Amino acid sequence: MISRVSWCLFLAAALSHLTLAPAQAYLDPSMGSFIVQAIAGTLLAGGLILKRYWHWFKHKLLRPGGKGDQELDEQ
Amino acid sequence: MSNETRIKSSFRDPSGYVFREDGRVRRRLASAYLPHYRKLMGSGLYVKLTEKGLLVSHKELESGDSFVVIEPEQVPFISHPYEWCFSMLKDAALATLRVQELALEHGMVLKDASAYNIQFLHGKPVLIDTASFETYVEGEPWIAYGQFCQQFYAPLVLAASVDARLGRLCLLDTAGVALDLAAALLPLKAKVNPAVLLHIVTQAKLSSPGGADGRKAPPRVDKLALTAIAANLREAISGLKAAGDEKSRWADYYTTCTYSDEATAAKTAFIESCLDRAAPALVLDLGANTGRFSKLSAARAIETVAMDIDCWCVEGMYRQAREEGSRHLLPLVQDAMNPSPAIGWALSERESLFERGPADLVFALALIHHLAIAGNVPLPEIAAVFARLARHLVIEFVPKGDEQVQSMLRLRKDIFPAYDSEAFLAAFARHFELVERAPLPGSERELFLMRLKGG
Repeated sequence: MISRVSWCLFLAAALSHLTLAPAQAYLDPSMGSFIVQAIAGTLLAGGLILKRYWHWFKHKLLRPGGKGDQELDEQ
Repeated sequence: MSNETRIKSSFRDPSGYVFREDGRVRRRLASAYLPHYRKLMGSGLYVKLTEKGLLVSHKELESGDSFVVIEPEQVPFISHPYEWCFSMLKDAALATLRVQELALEHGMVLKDASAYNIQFLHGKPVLIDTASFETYVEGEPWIAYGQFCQQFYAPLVLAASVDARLGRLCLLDTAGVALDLAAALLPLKAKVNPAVLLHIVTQAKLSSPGGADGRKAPPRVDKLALTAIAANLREAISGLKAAGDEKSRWADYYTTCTYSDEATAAKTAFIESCLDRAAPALVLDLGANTGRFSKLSAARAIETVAMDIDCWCVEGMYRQAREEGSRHLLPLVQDAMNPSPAIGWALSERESLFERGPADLVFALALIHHLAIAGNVPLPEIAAVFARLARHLVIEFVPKGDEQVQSMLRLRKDIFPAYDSEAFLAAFARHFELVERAPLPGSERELFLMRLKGG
């Protein structure tokens, strides 16, 4: 089934802006960059899921018996 | 005894370092990095990336409990992002994002997204930093996101929205184009684009003093969100086109030619004979224009760097080489009057053009009058500089009577009494021995093959 997992991940992304330990890397990132990712990531992930659903519906409605869920998930 | 010499730019990342040994570039991976390296190799990511030509392949030379030494496929000529034309930077950006997407699929992430980690190998952008991968930790933001935007997205958007030459802004700062600077330079029309608004304007605002509170712990960003960010950047970058990229621009380059067919044939024959004599492994073509003569050496599988000051010439060469699948031609934006300097920490992080030479053979075709007349550089100075760049030199002397020089002198005083064939030969004889000379039919121009003395 398409994207049940994706939905869960999206909900998790939307609801779980909890804190983490600081990243252990040598780059010196800014908090602003992290916040943009949190906001943008949530919005864009939502868009990504909607896009996948749209493709799924389109194939189901227009091409019954067409590509299966598994194939769409792989796209 | 080891003759290992550490590459000067390799000091930032504690994961290891790059060094030169026995004339080969190698990488030592440190103990702390080995779990990530093992995951790269064991997860199927390395195979996937190398199959797709996105990551440089390597062989393991030594492997111990606390270190691994690898030898990557050698890159014939290191280029810097500020020397790339628009499409090269764009292709490098898309390759980086594809690597990030595939890394995420394999439970890893790019821990840096430096444009300097991309090199053009066999005509394609490839990640050369095998130690750029880290095991993905659920919920961690992409630490290299800001770096990617500064080194790729901001210069590309500026080149697309303002002027194609703005990719050169990367020369000002090895970290790339500061996002607040990009936001200040971009027109309103560009800033209202959702991707620009998000990745440049908002990020610049939140990263500025008084923006986000840096004392708080970072927010969670899930894997799907990271995938979506990479996909969004990829879509945004795919749609970018350099400002002023119109068909008419290309038509001029391919139809304007100052040589007769006979002269072109003679010049081609002379260059072919020089390639036979010098048998170079690396050719630098200074002032390559559309790359007509660079292609002669590239066609012989000789690594050829075709340089021109005009970003549109370089753009044209790159697109054509990409279409033709050329594996040995590297077009670069380079001003012979102001070649790439050494920049970065201790002025040794990114090498100057001279430090990346000398080349076995340098072409300086229809170039000398631009340096001597337009640039006012005395002939002995030109000869001295070429001696630092070339073991062999194919040079075309364009005399004062030539139509091109006459046109240059039309609006200015002739202050070049010493610009003639005799003075030219005397200046170059200090550094080079003359191997061959040939007149160019239908003109007063002459071609010379020279060999560096003691070279």
